[in-house]
Amino acid sequence: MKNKVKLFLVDDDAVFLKLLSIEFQNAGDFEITTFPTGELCLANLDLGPDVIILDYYLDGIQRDAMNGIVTLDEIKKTLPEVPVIMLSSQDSIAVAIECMHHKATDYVIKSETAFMRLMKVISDIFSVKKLEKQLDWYIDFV
Amino acid sequence: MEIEPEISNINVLVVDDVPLNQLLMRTVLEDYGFSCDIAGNGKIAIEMMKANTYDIILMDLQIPEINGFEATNYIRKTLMSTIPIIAIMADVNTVDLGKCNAIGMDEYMSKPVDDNLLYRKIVGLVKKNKLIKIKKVIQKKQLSEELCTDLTYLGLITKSDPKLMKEMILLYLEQTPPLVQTMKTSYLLKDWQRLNKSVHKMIPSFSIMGISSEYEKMAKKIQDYTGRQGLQDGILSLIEQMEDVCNQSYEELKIELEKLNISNSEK
Repeated sequence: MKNKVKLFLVDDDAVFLKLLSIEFQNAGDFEITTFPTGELCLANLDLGPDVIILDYYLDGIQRDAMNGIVTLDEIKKTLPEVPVIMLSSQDSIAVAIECMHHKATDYVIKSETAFMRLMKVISDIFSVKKLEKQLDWYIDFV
Repeated sequence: MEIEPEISNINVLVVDDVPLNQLLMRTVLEDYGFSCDIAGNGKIAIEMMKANTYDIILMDLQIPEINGFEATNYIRKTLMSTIPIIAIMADVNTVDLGKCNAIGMDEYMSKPVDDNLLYRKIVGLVKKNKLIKIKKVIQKKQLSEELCTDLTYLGLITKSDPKLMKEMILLYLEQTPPLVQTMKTSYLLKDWQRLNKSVHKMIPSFSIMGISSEYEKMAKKIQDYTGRQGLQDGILSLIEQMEDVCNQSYEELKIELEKLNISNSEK
């Protein structure tokens, strides 16, 4: 990861959003943009994020806000290739499966280890991408 | 006379303008193994108090610039110091001893100072002051054990950067009261889905601000109850407990924020 990774963080929980952005800032290598709502995230997709981290319950504070799954669907319509990692403080299989069905890359629980897990998922995403590139190259070669 | 072993390294500030008295005091104090600094007037004494740490002050009352009463008053009121102060005076009969007490002097002695008595008073006062300080530390510790928040984790993440810590605390202070309000109204309106979501939103901030995981469990229990018919009756006491901890954490974090502001302005 030589170039900075463009990261979108989307959460209506301002405290958790700030915490994550501090942690990613400390890690370096990231260009971070934060959004308190799914609507704002969608309006800024043309900034070209490399990875999006999206809260599942975006309508927890504002009742009429777009929820996480709807936002996820909209992102996938515009940028189908961009990995989206879903976040929730609820450890529920149903929620995890729902996210996977809607083409989320992964599902991470909001806890003290959330940041570590997110970092792991992101680095996995990039190593898979690298492998895919190499594979393409070999296929062309053959 | 026996020198008490646990009282060593006493740092004395002597405030006196007469060179002969200064020399006399220094000789006596150094004989007892104390170290000593001399201030020629009240103004210098205050400057030295600000720059150094002393265990006790011997204050002559008739000194130039700022007199002994004024200097003591400044040390107590402005510097907020509890350092023991012994007033030294030429004649006990002509000085208002009530005024000495009222202004915050701990003891008084008349000249010529009796060496043994001076030693006993110094040791007694320094010991007493140390005990009071220890008691205060213990009291503070006991208080902190009852706090519901703990900023260790936040300090770790922010590398104790006061600016970032302040930002995080401010966000919590802004976000929490409306969430509590939503939690309460949605209970009254029996809007279980909304109650579920508002409680859900509190969970991450709880662990960030070091609030006991008991409350996280409680929040999850409320969420659990909202999903099941007939269990909603048990929710009220849980909601009240959640409200209490939110209010308490709010007050505590407001104090933390003030502390951060003060330490920031000192820098």
